[in-house]
Amino acid sequence: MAQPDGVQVMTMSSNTRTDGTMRTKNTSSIRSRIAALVATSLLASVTVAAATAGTAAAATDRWICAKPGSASVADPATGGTSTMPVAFTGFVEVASDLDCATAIPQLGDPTPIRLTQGVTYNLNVVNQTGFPINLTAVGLTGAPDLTGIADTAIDSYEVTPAEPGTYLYESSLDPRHALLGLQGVIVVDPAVPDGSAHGSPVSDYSTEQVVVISEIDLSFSNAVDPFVEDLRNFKPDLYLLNGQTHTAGSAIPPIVADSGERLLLRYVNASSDNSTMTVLGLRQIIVAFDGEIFDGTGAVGELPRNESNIFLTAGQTADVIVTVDGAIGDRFAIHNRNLRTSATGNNGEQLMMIEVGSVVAPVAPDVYLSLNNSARSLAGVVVRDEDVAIWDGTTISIFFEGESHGLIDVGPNIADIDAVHVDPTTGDVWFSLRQDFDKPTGAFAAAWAAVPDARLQENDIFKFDSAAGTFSVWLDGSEIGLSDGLNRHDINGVSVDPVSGVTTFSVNGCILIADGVPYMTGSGVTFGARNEDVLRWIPVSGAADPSGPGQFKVLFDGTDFGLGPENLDAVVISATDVMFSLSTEFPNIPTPEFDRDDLIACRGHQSPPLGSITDTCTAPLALQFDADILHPTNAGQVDAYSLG
Amino acid sequence: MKLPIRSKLAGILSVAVMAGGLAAGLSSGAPASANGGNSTIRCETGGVGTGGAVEFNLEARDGYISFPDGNTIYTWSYALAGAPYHQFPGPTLCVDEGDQVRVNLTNPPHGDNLSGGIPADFTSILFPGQTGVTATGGTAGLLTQEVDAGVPGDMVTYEFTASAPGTYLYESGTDQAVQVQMGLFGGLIVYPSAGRGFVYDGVNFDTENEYLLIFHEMDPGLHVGVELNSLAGLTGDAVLGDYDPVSRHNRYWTINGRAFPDVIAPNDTPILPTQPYGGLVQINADDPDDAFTQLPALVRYANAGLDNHPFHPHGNSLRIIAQDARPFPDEIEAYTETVAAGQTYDLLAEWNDVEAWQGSDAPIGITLPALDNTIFKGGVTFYSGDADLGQQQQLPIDVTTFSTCGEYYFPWHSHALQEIQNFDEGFGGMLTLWRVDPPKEYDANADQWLSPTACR
Repeated sequence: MAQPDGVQVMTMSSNTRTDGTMRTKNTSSIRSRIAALVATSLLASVTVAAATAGTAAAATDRWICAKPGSASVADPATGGTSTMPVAFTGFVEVASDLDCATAIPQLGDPTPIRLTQGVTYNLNVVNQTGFPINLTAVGLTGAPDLTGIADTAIDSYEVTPAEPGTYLYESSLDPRHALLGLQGVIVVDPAVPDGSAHGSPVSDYSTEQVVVISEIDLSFSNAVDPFVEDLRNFKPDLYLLNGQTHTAGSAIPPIVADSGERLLLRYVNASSDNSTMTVLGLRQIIVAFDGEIFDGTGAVGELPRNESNIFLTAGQTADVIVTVDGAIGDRFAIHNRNLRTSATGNNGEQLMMIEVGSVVAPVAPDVYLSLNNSARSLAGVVVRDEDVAIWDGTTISIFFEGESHGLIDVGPNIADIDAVHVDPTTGDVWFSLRQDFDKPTGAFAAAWAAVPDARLQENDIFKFDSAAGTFSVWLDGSEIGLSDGLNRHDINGVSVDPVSGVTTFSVNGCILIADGVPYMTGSGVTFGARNEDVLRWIPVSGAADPSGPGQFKVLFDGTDFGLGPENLDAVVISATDVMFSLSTEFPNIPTPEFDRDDLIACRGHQSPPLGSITDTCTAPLALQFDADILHPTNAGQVDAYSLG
Repeated sequence: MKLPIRSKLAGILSVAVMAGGLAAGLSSGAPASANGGNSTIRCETGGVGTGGAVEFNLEARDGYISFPDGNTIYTWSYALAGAPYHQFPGPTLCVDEGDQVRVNLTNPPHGDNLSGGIPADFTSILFPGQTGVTATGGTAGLLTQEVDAGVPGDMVTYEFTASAPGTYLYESGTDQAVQVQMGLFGGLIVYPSAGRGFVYDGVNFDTENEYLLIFHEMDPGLHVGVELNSLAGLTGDAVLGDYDPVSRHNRYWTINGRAFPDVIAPNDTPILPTQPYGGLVQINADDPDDAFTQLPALVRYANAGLDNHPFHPHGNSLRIIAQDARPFPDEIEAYTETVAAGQTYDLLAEWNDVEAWQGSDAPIGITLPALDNTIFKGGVTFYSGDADLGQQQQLPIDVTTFSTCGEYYFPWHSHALQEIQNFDEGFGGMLTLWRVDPPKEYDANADQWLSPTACR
């Protein structure tokens, strides 16, 4: 995915990778630290030296200890009624090198080293394994360290994660290292925390769990000297998830999640074989492979995939969203469908459960709306068409009052908001007008100063900065090929992503843009859409220039849902759903009835860029918000919706 | 982007060469032909149960299956209640989107290894990919309710709404590493609300050419152990004896429960009474000279095995449109797809203007060696004697051809090549053929498109 605005990747030397990450040894630091380690009585001063010597000022130190460990694993041969020791060598994150002595590595440890996108780190590795190792963070670090870190030495690897996601790290100096357990997980969080795994709504989650898939050849791992073992004989006989194996008598502790939660599973295939991870009873939505986001903005433009069985090649990671849906105590198995197991009777399987902890009643989001045609009393509150009102499920109030910002009707100069998006966190409002309107002047001139044109156009989207009280142009319709006036490219529904700069909208009228704005970069196909479609403008420069060069996409093809002459006049986008309202009645009246003012949801929407496969929802179109609660007469008055 | 199409000549020659290799093991005769393929999907549609549910009555049964090398293997599988034999794989269950589906499972008394119940204490069915499955009756197991062999007549009822169209598997949810390996699995098809001519809403196909290919693999050593223990009267855990999943070493790889060349024998061939489903993929070429546009054939992959299988046809690429019963955001054109354990794929197969083929106007310009310079190993071939589709020429008098109407044959197989053999005898295993017939012809009297008479 594109980096959020303002995040710059450090480039320090010639071994910078094309993806912006780099790996370099801080040799001066290493030398000082090795020398210090030799003089063990000076360990305390080493820590001081680490903070001051050799590292780039901006880098953050993280400490990783590599050392032998011993795990106690349920014995499949006894059905889990007893345990058996498994020798291994592993990594463990520590606060400083001083903590290495007491740190205990865990077999198949799912606890990730947590980094932040765009921040530069020194990953300081303390080697207490008894043999030389290195650290290779697959997908994060660049050229492999072929020199390695000598036993008892410390080395530092600099990394600046360019993209959020889940990564595998390991010692790759010798193939035996990973087989012995020298592996771990790095999770890179988005530069701007937003409740998602990748800075994209498709990866929004409320609970997460790393699932490390690994395996053990007991004769190899428990050998006196694994380095003299013949790898031709390597044959796993113990199969693990997060370092544990399921047996009939000893289950791996379940992942507890609430019904309704979006559970993020971060699969890390640390085994030496391909694995197929299945969740029984729930679908898995892949939002990333190997840190590459599947929201259409990644390098290869992949979109989320709905699968049952996630095929992970050895070394691969996948981030998947599972929406938990069940009653308290329900269990859904996560298991490797390759059905590797140590013994019959479910003994030694790679299997663990998702258990429903509680059922959280879905909280209906606040509904923001604007009206068409002058003022109207809604639930006892007068709302005008230049206002944005908020309905919290009980009461309605004015959230954005147009008149107090200069949106005042004067003669034929009528202000009517017909598209709105509200960021409930900041209070910022994005909106478009039903028709052109003279820019407010006088007392309001300062607030509107950033808007260059003297007349606000119906094909533009404006942003109201709630904190500053000022307005600006978010999307200039004429810059992306929307014409004003006769062609009726009035934007009448909008949803924005303030981080990516992507604007999703609908228009009143048909679009056929032959010049300059192809359907998709390089495709040579003229972009065309109609008023029953939901469109998306994806700017190359992201939020820095939402109107800048980019490309169109049809996000939702209304024809696929029986919409033809109907005009879609409100758009709301969530992580998984496309919601809309119509300006006319729904053509095929279902039960319950969809009215022209209602907000209709396509759950789990998937859209193709174009082609033979139509848009799909995971369920029939559903009523998201029934406007009858505000005005039972169904007068067709709501022409803009947002949810928060 | 269309991928480079493999040379047809190479495909023809490879089949011609291969024919010699398979002749000795061909136990099922030449593929017959119908208007559509003779291995088209064969659906069980169930009955109407209480509340209008589509209801299937399945039994866990045991019995034997045959392999082209003459081996006979003891397996467990499902059968429709009351069927004379178990069938491997289990019956293909076909329902429509929105149907309430009810499957009643029993495990009849175990007999003499000839299609009684299975000698396991418990068994069950999972429906991977479905949501909201309920299970009632029986005993609580690890993953679902299980039928208890110790309770006469014990039955578990599984029920769900077929909420999304596509290709699914069903399989045992009890001690899966054993019971799925032994053969307890089958296919489940959910047709979209648009109708049975569609794979997903908006995507239709030639209903005469719809195929389901279920993959599986087995270690006969494990099966023999269970067989002998069963014959010795053991049941439950004891019947497994020293069954060791870690030492599993596959010797047979199957498509629809058959190994090649049995795979290309038609559905319900009498020589394979417990393996009723064929796997020959047969389509009609689309004649670009004609305004009629041939709908694509639909091929459904479903990997019920424990291993992942890279699977591909020769001769053309495919349109891969869905995985695990969910359409891809954008279809993929490719020929090799690794079908991981448990996964399903839906693919559209077409033969459109391949290598500028234009029927009689522009036959494919391939110069083949003179027949008297060609060796037909074993004296059999799939070659028609003519490089052009739909054409046949005289072959040497000592050569037998399987060609019926000048059709093409291409291999379609696992490219984990150790899997296309039968206990070290090849070609065999997880291999089928792609039969390409000449374009259909319009029959004005019948007002329908029919395969050329010679091909029927």
